[in-house]
Amino acid sequence: MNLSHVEFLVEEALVNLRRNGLMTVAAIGTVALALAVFGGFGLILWRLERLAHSLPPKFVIDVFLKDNVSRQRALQLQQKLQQHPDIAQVTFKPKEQAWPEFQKELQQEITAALPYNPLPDSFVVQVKDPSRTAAVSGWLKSLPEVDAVRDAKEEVDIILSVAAIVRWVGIVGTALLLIATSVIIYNAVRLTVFARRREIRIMQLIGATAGTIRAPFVLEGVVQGVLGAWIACGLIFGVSRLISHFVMRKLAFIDSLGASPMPVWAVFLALTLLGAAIGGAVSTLSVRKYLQTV
Amino acid sequence: MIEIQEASVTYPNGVHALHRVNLRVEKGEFVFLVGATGAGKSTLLKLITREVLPSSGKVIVAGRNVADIPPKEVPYYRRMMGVVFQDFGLLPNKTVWENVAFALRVLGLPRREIRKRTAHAIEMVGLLRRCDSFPAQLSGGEAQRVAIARAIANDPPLLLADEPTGNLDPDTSWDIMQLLHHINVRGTTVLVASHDKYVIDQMRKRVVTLDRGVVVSDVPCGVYAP
Repeated sequence: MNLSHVEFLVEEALVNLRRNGLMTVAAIGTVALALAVFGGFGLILWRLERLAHSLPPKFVIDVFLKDNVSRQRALQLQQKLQQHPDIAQVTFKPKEQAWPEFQKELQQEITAALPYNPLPDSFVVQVKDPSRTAAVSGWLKSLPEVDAVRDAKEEVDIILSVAAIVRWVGIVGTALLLIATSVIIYNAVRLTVFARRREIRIMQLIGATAGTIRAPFVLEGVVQGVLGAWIACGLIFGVSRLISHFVMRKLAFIDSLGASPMPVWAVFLALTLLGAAIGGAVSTLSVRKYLQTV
Repeated sequence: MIEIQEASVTYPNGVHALHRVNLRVEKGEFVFLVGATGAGKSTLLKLITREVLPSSGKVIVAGRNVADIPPKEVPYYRRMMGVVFQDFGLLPNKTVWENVAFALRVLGLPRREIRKRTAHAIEMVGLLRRCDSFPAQLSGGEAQRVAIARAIANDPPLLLADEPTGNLDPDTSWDIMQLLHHINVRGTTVLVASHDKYVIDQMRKRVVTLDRGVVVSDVPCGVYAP
């Protein structure tokens, strides 16, 4: 295949795209909508999963020491805790510091009546892997200096199982949606090929090879897929901007929960590649039927 | 050029399109295939283009048994023949020039050669002034001329026409037949399936008559008499 032949095939594809205007618009529109739904769904899932993952580190174990533990022993214990492989960080919270915080949380009048500071010294322990919370708090409980341990085991469990569900729903949902997207695009492209099946027969009788007939169709499919993907990106970015503008104003705390900025380039690249791949593949499939010779 | 031996064609739906047909066409001949609709004229042409394979019997074109041509080589085999249809078979999204040039471009010829041959073919059918028109803007006769220009652009040794005047008025039909005759005179073997009695009777060419898939007569300077 020489250069002028490649040039011919590309030119064919571009001229066909332009002159089959309405069909091209219909196919691109279908690709755009299908990919926008697919991409939007993927983005929502990605957000949810990021959210689910950003939550657990905020769960910590409060370790309250017995009253008779000296400050020095407590500091020694802190060293020991820090060496535990599952523990990320240990913060010592002396009772003098805990007390004003507690007073602030409750009403001053109640605490003011107390003659002394009833709070024990404590550690705030952050676990490396949230799923190890139970094991770590069990170990902490077994230490002789420790009076009580308060972990957020139940909350952590819920968050973790939600994260797992989100991930699985995401994988299954994305796969299903990908199939649906491909089928919709396949149908749109098949219609355009069907409308041009006579063209294919004429080309065959002229003596065009299967490759020569197929190439412009596949190229057209790729171009339609990519253009559709770009429109889909526009739709997704536009809508998500609107939504986040609205949500951020109403629910400012979402931001603090670790919503990361949208991976614009990743979405753009992924949808473009996906559009090109689906467009090329379904065009190949659609033309194949008409290229069979006896 | 063409030798059909005892060829029968039965379509998958059970229709017997041709039954033990024998036909021999020499190089440079002009042959009319006549017969009522459904007599098997188109099927016979499709045997030659290898769109249909014989259920039994043999079809030999330019010394090759078409059944032995592997599917991959079919496009190259078809480049030795031009095909003209009743409904012209022009690509609707291409101009006259592009339609004719297309047949040459798929062959991968160099640009200069394509330009030369396209111009020559269009000039031969007398349509140089309609080069930039689209098929929808042409009259039936003009469209058929473009189809013929495309069929001969590659200068193939064989030209097949399936009811080329079926959609045209008598005067235009006559012109088209004259054009085919002209092409034949230059040395191209021409096979025309037709039931255009007026034209066939005037042309005084070899007439092969088909009736329900069987060759019932083969007359050297015949008339239309199915």
